[in-house]
Amino acid sequence: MEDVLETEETKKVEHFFLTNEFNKCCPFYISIGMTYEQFWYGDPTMTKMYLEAYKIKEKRETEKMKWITWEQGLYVYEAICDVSPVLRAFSKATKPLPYPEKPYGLANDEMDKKIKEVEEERDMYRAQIFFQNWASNMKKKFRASRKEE
Amino acid sequence: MNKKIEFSYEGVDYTLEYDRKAIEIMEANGLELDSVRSKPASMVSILWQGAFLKNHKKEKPSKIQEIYDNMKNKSDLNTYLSEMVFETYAVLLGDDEEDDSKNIEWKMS
Repeated sequence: MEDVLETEETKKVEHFFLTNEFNKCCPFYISIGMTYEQFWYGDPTMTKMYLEAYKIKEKRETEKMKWITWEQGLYVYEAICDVSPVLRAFSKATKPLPYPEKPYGLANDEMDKKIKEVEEERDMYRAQIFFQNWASNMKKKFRASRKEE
Repeated sequence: MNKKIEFSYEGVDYTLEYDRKAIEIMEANGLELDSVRSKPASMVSILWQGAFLKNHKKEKPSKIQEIYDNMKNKSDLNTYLSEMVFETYAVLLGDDEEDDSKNIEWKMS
């Protein structure tokens, strides 16, 4: 019977050398932050962590890029809307609507900051009231105990 | 953490493990992983000596052979050495945590 595993074709197959694979992968791992020493002399499983970290970073960057592109589209859309009254035939408008002075999001940040300040002030007053009440209660108790004596 | 073999021999603690450089050296010295079955004697000898390269580089070959001769469970030991070598390659692919629910389960009988 013919040996299906060892034919003339399979005999020609070159040996699989791990060193070749390591040499192929090494530049990629260096590009994602691993050092040459870590790759060749470190714990071999370290590459797994670097690969995982690389995937997380890529995902985050993609999300960020998507958001930036979307926001850019929004600005373009608004710019077209702002200028459209001037471009319309027979329109009496001579100036386009003003472009937003600040990027979107800044106004919200300022609002958040103010809300935080108000909340901090409110917490401070609450604490003051709590301690004043506590002090007056203590005074009352102290006086009462003196009278009993 | 990577796979290791730890033991004590004549009061000395040994930790055997591979880094990629050790495998490069082993392959330069004739290691062919696909020939482990066809030439077990020579391949296992290289695997065993290579396991000392990372942490016990200065150990004499005669001592390394002596330790091997005194090791129990040689069959499991040889299998584990092969697994340790393949681990250095498998982690490069990083696909061991992929969803394999669609793959066929099998068992030994």
